[in-house]
Amino acid sequence: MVELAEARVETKPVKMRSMKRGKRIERIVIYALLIILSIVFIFPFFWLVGTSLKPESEAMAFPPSLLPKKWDWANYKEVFEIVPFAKYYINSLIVTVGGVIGTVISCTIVAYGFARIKGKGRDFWFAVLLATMMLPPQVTMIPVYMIFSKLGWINTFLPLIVPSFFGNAYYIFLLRQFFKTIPRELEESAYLDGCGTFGIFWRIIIPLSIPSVITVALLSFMGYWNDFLGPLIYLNDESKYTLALGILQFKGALIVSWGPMMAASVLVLLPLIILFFVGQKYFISGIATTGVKG
Amino acid sequence: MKKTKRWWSILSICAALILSIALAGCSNSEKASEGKKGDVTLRILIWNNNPEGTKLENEIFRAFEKENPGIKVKTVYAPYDKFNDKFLTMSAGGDQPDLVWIQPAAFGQFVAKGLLMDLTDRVEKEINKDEFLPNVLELGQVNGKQYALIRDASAFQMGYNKDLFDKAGVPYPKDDWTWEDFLEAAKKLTKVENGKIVQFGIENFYTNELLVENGGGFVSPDGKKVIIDSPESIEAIQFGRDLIHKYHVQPTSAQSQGMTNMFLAGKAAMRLLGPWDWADTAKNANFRWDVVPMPAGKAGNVAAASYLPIGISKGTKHPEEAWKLLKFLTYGKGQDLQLNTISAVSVMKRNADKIESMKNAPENAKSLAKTLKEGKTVRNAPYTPEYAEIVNKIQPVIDNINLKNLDVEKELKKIADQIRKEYNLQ
Amino acid sequence: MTKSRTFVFYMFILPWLLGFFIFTAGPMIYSLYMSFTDYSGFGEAHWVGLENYKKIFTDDPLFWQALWNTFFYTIIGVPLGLVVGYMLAVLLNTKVKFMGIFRTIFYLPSIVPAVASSLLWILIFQPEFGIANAILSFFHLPTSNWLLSEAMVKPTLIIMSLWGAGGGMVIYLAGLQSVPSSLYEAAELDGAGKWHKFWHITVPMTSNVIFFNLIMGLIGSFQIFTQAYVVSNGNGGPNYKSLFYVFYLYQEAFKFFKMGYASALAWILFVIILIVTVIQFKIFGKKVYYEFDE
Repeated sequence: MVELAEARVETKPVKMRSMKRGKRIERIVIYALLIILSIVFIFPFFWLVGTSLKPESEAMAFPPSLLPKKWDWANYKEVFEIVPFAKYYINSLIVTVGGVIGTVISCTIVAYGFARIKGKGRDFWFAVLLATMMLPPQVTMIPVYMIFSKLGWINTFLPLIVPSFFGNAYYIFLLRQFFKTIPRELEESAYLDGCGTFGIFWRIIIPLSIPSVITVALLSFMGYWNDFLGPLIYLNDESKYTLALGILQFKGALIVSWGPMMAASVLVLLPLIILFFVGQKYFISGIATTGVKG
Repeated sequence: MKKTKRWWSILSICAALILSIALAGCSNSEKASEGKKGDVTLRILIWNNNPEGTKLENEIFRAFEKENPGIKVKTVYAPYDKFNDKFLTMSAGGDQPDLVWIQPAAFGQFVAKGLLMDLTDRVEKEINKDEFLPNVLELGQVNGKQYALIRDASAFQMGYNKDLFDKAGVPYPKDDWTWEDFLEAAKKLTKVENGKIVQFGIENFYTNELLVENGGGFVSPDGKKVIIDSPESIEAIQFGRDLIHKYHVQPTSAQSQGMTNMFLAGKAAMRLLGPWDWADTAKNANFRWDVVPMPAGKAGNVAAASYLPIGISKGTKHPEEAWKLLKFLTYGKGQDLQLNTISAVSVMKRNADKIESMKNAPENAKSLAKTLKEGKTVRNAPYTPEYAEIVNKIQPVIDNINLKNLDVEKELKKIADQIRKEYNLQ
Repeated sequence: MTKSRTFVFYMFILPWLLGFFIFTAGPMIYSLYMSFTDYSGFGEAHWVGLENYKKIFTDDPLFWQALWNTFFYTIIGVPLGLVVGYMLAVLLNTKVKFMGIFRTIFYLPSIVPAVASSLLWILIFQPEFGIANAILSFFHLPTSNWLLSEAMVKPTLIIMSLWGAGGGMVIYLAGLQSVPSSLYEAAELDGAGKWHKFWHITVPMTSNVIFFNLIMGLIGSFQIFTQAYVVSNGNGGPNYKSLFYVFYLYQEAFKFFKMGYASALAWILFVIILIVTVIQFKIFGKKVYYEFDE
């Protein structure tokens, strides 16, 4: 925080001098800030990876060792020996992909409705939508569980996937906020060209919103991938467990095995990191090329 | 018009998607849950103490399946601290497991909610009560009715690191040792280097054991009287607090937070061990170790009874098969198999002498046999519906006393009066 | 015309509308009913009128403790999270090299599963051998008992939450990148400085995203559960100082099976959040929320 405040102060006088030099100093300040913040942010993560490579005795030594003295892959080996990790990966993938597809389809459609179509009762329903976001899931947990139980869906992936096709208030709100920033003129001209509402949605809005749609897809991917409570309640068979539940297998009645636990966490995280690293280009910067700048 | 049509097509695509996923899911689940046609699959809800133990549990179930063709056993796991929630949500959703492990403190709750099957008649008809060790059947009874059978009944003992005792020149503890003996040993086994304690006498003296050994407790065994502020209880809690703050032989919570097993790491000379810890200790300890009965407070060398009740859910669709499995585990062959797999003490008279020969048994395992045989275990979890809640309210107060070195009598009197008022107890 | 617009609107929001009735409205009405009973999750529910609510407000010190804890966490944590997230996004929105790597580093923490990250922080804040105290004592600064200290447990949880500020950052970034660059160009022609541009273009143009993150931050903060549950070993310690509202609710519902009482708690929380949100809309809403509405 302190560093940030300083950065702003420094940019001021710099501006007075020659543009070139000012730009360069600004660059340096930005890089310095980014590097310092990166160290702060990556540190706990570094610790996570480090602990996953330390034998139990070293994980708990004081003073703590920053790096493992010797890289010890035993924890990773243990993870694969103890639990069927490959199976959990596939299960997580099924739930996540299903959930993401459902979320993206339903949320874009609904969000467009709220963003652009002036139907009677829109404000009312939008207020209702916002209200549902604030509802603690614990309020509806038992009744919802009973519904799925009546349908005979307990111990299947359905209770985890199907609700995604009915929209998610959070992502609907998010997409609606994005849709609202798209200039109306584009739609109006399309409308004059004879495009129907769905045509506008499909041909104008969606292409313009690819980055935000990808954002929602990624966010919901993370959500489903890390979801713990849902699988805990609905999945009973070990063969159906997802990765997030898998981590908890290392927490026994009284003891926590730090090493394997951290190793499992790293393995759960790995796909997310890769996905984000690959996807973030489209996901954030892609927006500039879509013509939104108008 | 045109718009509307397009809408229907989109809706139907969505519907088709949902349906196809639904079908895929359903067919999957059927394939997985049913082995052969006509097979009955029993589900038993358990927690896992450690991955190794869980693997070994399955050996016992496989043995049952071999003996009972047509019945398959499937384990359902829940983490220990979410275990009761899991059973509740499964029950509330009408998807109860057929059998369930029970944490004694929650037993009263489960029965009061009507979640467990009454086994009284079956026990009368099919079980020879004389084959059990004394007082075992009672552990599964609430208000005179049998709601569970006990798989293993045992107790904590004090485990100690022989190497560290030798190094400090402290004689090994004897079976009849007292709190004073314990404290003296613990002091000698605590080592300070550069102002930091690098080795503790004991890792953690559990509250429950302190109370039991001094004749105290949270609530009286009948559940009607709050006794956490009795002189015995106060003395016990005070002793526990002093171990930390006066004698510094046990780590403060700051010193021990996140430390999973200081005993195994050689950073604590003593630790409470139950037989379920033997396998783990034998596997991971790189020192010589043994066990002795808990040191005696005012109530003698006694320990809290640690036992595992297993019940049958009221909602089971296969009561006969479930009963068969329960009998196998708590009365039949399972009782013999568990000795050499998971080192679980049997509740049958026929296995009473087998403790010393159980897998991974330490040298002085016979002292555990003696403690159990002489009935020196104290049952201290009354099966009243509100007991779990009461424990949950008192424990934080004790934690706080230990954390901040507070006045024991004042704090316990305060919480005791609060509990009395809230639950209408004596 | 209006009639058909209304029809189209409802067709667009249909998926959500259905989901709302099935998964939210129905279960909520059921739980409202339960809040007037002594329902225990099983057997019969007996009507007790306002008894649960009366007990909560007049005879339940833990309710007030939990409410205070949650309030404290929210009032300190949410603004901090907003500022940190926004600053990270602004920094990342400058065109520098290795942006992908920096983004990933800042975002990474927010996707670590809550169970795993909480366990990780226990290790870091371990008073004896944890790295946090090791660093403090290296600089001869006072150390702390962190998660074991009544005074520090909530601030520590807030620090933990700041580590996840990258989640909000992504949303900001998407918002920042959709600010039309023509606006900046125009301002530059008018000779506006960086500072001026930041306050008069960047912030107003992203106000809808800020508002979104504010609401989401508040909702998330009111519902904090997993982290506190893990670091306190499920008891809300020390001395109930980390017993947050939903934690308390969960405990009443799924540890003690007091469904009726817990439902009443849930409804009180729901009403509180609703009031807070309405106030926000009244204060900030007009400007940011209707900006793009015609």
